[in-house]
Amino acid sequence: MDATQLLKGVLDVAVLAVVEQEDGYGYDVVRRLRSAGLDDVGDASVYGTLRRLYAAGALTSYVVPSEEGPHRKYYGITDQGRRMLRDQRKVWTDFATTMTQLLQEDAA
Amino acid sequence: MTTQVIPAEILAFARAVRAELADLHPEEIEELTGGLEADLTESYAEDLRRELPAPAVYAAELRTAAGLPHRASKGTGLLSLPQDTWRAAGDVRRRVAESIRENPTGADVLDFLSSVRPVWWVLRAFVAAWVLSELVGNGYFTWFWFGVALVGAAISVQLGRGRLGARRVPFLILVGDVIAVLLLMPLLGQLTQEETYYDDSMPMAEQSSQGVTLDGASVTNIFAYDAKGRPLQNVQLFDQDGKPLVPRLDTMRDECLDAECTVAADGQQAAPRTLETGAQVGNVFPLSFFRRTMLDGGALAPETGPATPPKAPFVKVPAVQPEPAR
Repeated sequence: MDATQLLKGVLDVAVLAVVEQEDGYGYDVVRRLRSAGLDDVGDASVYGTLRRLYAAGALTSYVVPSEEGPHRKYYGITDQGRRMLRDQRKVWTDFATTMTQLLQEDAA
Repeated sequence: MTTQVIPAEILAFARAVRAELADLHPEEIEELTGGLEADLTESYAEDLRRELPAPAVYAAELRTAAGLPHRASKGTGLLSLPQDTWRAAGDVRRRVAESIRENPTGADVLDFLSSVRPVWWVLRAFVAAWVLSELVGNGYFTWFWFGVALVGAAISVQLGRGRLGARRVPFLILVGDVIAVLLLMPLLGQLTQEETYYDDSMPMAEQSSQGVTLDGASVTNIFAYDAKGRPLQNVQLFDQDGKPLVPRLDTMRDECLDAECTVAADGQQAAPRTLETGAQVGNVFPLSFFRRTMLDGGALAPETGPATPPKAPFVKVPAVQPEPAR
């Protein structure tokens, strides 16, 4: 089993959680996910996910201009995104608890 | 912090990625790749050993993560615009469907609709045949057009199932569907009109059946003769259901002096008879008639004098031969 495969199913909730902590631009979100331990997360997967969450209304975006170099597109979470995150947190917790119990080696 | 110079290779890479996404709507491309150069520059400044992936692979990853369809074969010429439009429409449709499916009832409704889609496939063929019959034929939906509709239905179902190259021209099918839906309204309108026409004709039929008629003309009196052929007086007549046989004039058949059509154009008005029960009836034959006249103001004058019996058509008719003894 490959952690990359597992990540595909939960990238949405991971990105939402990171953006909920603090607004961020594309690569910023990638970096924070990696530093949280998701080393294998791909840039393009995160950017695509940000775009999809934005299209679904879970995220909002705004551009921060810079004097030199390109402008930055920041993402922030919306109320809808918070609701989505809360629901998915519960789903994840239930699922993780079930899987942990199922996979316990010393289970009777 | 963001003051940086973007390396030429990253600019080229971002350009190549955008080219890979060229089939998407410009807005979608911007959403997917806005800030790509800055992100990449920062990313590769942190880890100089990283190599840029193939633009196609990177673009495919973006698409997958964003829930966008994989790149379709490029359309050519005139068809490319409809294909792009179709793709954008498909994207919107997918998003709408997803948001509806979040609600269990919405999901049920969608499932129901998708299971009755074949009905629409057949229906649109009938709409098409109807339009053809209006354009090419004389406007009557004959058996021939019914046959055309059946053949069309077979083709339409195959198209609906994605056969006969339907997947290559989804835009054309969408346009066809929209036209069919729009034409369905006048078609239904016409059907309802026809229904209304029949509805209207019902009371007409009832009205024209008022009274007693022979070959479509009002019977205003009945003369009975006995077996010997002599005229009978005071004969009470009933129909097969026991309903009294009462001749009535009718506005559809006769000219009358009054709105209720009880007085004929010549001023004749049937006189009722009284039974031993006291009931007044109109089925005692031959009927006698009052004579009514029209006043200057258009109103009818009251009947003058007693009701007079009309002259019988025959003084005597041939006698009936006795039935042979059994």
